[in-house]
Amino acid sequence: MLPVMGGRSQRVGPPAPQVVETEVDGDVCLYDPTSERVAVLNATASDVWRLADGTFTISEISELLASSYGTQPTSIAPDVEAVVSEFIEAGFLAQE
Amino acid sequence: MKIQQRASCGYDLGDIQMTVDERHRILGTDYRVRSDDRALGARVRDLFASFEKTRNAARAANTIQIAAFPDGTHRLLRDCYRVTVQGPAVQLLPALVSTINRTAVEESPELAIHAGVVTIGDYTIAFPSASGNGKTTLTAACLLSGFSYISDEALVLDDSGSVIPYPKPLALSKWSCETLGIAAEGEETLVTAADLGAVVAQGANQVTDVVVAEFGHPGEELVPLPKSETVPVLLGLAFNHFKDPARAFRIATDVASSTRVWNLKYSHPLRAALYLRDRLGPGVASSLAV
Repeated sequence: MLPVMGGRSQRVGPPAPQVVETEVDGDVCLYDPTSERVAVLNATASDVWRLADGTFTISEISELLASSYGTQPTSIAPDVEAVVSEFIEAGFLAQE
Repeated sequence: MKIQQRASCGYDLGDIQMTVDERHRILGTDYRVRSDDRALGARVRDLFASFEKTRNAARAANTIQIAAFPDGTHRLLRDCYRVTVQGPAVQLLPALVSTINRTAVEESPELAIHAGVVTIGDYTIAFPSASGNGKTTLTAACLLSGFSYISDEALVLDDSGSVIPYPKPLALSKWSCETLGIAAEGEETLVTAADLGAVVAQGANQVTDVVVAEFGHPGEELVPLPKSETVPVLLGLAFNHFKDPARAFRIATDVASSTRVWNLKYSHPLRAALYLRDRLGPGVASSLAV
């Protein structure tokens, strides 16, 4: 896993323009036609993806999800950072 | 333009009279089977009876010939090149079916996914699986248990996600025959749906259930899986998704959204077939909606 440049204050997203997004029973499925990569996201990763529109930082996403899940932002932030790193590595998020 | 020399084939069939000339359209491709053996011709007609007959000429690459040669062997030739050599012509049938199957799914213009597919009532059940995991045996067990046949090889889906029947002959191993109580004819035994007392499903169906089956458990158990798990399973087992990956992704996600998805653990194919019929068949399916 690559460290996220800019750490938790980096804004996440928006999605790369070529990425196709479909929901299957609440889980987000992503397809990148340039790399032909497919990813099926679990419920938490799907929630992170839905917030990855370029508006929020990793810290802000962690706070929003922690509030929704009834947990502490500090306990969820490492997982959010990890999944954002995977999105970047897979090319699903637009590069600055 | 002068033709200096006629191009030569790998084998010269000379004056062999081909009394059998079977032509069928399979998944949109025309195939032609020629032979000098009338008994074999009758069996070929029987095995491919579920496919549309055509009068079109097949490409040389899709023309398969089984011919007796002076040395007493029969040879299976495709595009004039030898595919395999064996003794009696009937022993070449598994190679004939395998040769046609391999090219038919690869050349299909529709998305083809490695899976067995059966129907019962309004329910269409797919068993996606790689080779060697018991998919054909489980499909055959279902046909012996009251299901109708769509394929033991490929779930073929058109743009709208409707299933296109691909009722190729089932090739059963010795173990499969023994397990199902069918007389084996050699290393591989070819049977049709009719041989197993089943019919071929007609018309377009939508997949209602995707069953990821696991053989080797002490009993039969059906557990619901998240629908999204179907997407990587279907795409990972597709024969020809590379032709149009975006279309394949769309069809796979459409199918995943509209089906129930199960993990089946089972101990015996026939017990599993009966269990599926009782659990997923008409009459009880509505109570199992997930």
